[in-house]
Amino acid sequence: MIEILSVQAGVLTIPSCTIQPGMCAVTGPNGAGKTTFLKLIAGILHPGAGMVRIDGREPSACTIGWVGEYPDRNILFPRVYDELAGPLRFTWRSCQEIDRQVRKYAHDLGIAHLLDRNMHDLSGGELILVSCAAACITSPDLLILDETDSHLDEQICHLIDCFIARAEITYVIFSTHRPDRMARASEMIRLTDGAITEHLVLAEESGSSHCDHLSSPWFWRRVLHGISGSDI
Amino acid sequence: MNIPPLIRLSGVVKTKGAFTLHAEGTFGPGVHLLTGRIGSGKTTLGEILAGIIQPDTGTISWTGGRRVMLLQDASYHISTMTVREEAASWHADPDVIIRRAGLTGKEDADLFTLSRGEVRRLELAAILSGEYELIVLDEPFAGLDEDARCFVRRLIETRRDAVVVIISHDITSLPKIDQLVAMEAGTLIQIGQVPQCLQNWNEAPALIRYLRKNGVCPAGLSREDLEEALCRIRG
Repeated sequence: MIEILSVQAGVLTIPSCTIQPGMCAVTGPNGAGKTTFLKLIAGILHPGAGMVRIDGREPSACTIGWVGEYPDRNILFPRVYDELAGPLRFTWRSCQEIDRQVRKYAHDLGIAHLLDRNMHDLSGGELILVSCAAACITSPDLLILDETDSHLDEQICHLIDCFIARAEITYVIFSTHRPDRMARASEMIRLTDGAITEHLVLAEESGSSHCDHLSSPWFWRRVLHGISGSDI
Repeated sequence: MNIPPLIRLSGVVKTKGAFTLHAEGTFGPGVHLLTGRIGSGKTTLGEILAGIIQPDTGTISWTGGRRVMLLQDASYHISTMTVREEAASWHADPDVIIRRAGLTGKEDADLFTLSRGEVRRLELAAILSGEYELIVLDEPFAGLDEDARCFVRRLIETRRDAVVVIISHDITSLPKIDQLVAMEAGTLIQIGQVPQCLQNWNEAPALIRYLRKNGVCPAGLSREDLEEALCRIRG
């Protein structure tokens, strides 16, 4: 469980919040503190006051993967292969093991054909896939997706969902404005003006009374389940 | 004499590495939705329409005045330090831009202290308030909250006199759409006029497929039309 207690950081004020293992969606208006919240849990931002623990440990003691809205800002290496291998090379693993992992993750995300390509020649969607693979390749305790879905179509989102599910990451926290994305989460946190104003467990059967609205995650669950032959 | 703005692409070809774009077609006044899978060439077509890049071959005839494109990453538009300076750097009344962007009271804020959504609202307000006759909006709703989406939708509605091309995966926040076009593996396809074409839209998003499966075809692609179609399912 992720615990946040008496935190005061930037625009955020959070007396207490706990997040269970699974997928947690974070939503809220622009400027409400979504990215600040994610940075706090990732240990990128140290709380001025209060504490954050991931299964009892400081975030900085955990392995954390991060994918943003524009991954081209965080590219470390010119070649796709090196971008994937980089996080493993920093942990001093053998070349054979690294090569095996890079090829496995590239295969799982359908980007094996891109391994020799230059990072700067990729399309926006391809960049996101490479960044997801690089973020997951170290088997992080926590994966953060900061509005990664904002430029992605349904098919790419579905591909990433399946990949993340197979990667068996304990905590996946993603910020989004899209109710169809929230429908995939097991928990949802809404931030307004730096405070948590809603924290829901999105259980399968609950919320049927909100089912008919385009802004409702429950409605989108029904849409996604209602289309025959496929999950998307 | 007032000639309506019209852009015509004939035999347009643009190659970028392994990718080649082919485009043939005409865009007149009104709102066009450009859809298509990731990597299919939507942004490249937008850049050609806006005159940011030139095709390798083919011709483009354009009868209107200024052209502009909202970039996917709106922070690449920033050319100044503060909200007030940025608003003043565009072709419109800076006070109107700031008010429409909902940034009244933040005039002196450093642009890099704003959230991504606030920056996008500012650049969108500037583009939609200016005297442009061809406006390409690359994912204008991405990263915006519901209030901001509603505001952008209304702002686009005021510019039906221009050629407006919206590139978007998200169909839940749209204004009234007149024409639907798509990029399919690098080739521009005219899907047709809305709403007649919705029944035959092959690559339609999940929501449209869900409505069709329930025997309902929306009267259009605007948010209101989609909500009305959902009411019909409920009966």
